[in-house]
Amino acid sequence: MSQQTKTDNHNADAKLELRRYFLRTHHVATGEPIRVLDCFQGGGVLWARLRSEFPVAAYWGVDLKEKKGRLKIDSARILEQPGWNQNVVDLDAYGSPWKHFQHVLENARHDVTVFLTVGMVKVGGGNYDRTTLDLLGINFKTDLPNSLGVKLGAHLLAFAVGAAAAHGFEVADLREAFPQRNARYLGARLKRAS
Amino acid sequence: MLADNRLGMKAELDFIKTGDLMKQFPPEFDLDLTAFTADELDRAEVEIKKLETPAAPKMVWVLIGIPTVRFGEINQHVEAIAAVKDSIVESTLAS
Repeated sequence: MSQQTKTDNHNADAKLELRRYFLRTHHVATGEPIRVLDCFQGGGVLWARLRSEFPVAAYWGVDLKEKKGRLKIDSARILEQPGWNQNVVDLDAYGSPWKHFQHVLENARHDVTVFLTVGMVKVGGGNYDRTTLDLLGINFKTDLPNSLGVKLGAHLLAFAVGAAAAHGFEVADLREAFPQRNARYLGARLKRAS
Repeated sequence: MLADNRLGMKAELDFIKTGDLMKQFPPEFDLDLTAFTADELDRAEVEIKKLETPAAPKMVWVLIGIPTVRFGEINQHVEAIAAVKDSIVESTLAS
């Protein structure tokens, strides 16, 4: 039961439709094979459904949580190694997906479709995700005012797009699925700039 | 019988199939009978919106005010900030 509480399983339709759009538009329509790395597999139901609908050439689902029939692996450790060849990376994270996203930017040598589930930033005196800011290259050696941290957190997507450009990617398509509850559902098509 | 007490705890909900089932109920069906909450049964229409590529803010601006007669207390800090590469420091007076 705790797994269901931690994983944002609400709005499965929104997550599915977002993935369907990108698979149709950037893979099926162009003939690019679908090779998936599902970094936070959970129960695996999203991709079980998508694999029944799309010609998925390869699928690798991993999770930090142990489950019969899958390897217990920190997917960040896969992504931080150069050489992986998946072109669909699903970061349906329980918390923040940005560390994984950073590794995608650092090590993908090909066009890649990325799905991100991003926890909403608290505003109005809430905390901000300091780790996330660090990962996006916003490094402060000293504490910064909480209010400023929250404001910067609200621009995370902009910093992520900037980070993609800095790593030689063009964000060819960026979309968001609604309705949302406690998280944003984002999809991005990253093309290696020639 | 004892195992029955544990089996449910090991089960995982397939929320997609559950949603498919929910859609099959007629509108007049009392969904309270399913034991799911209203939140879990929310089947709002999905919308996929294109996002413009956002631009990150390039500067952080900090406004500092201090009584004119006490400016000497912070002047050296202001000068230190002004010496930081790419920083912009302007000062003015106001009534």
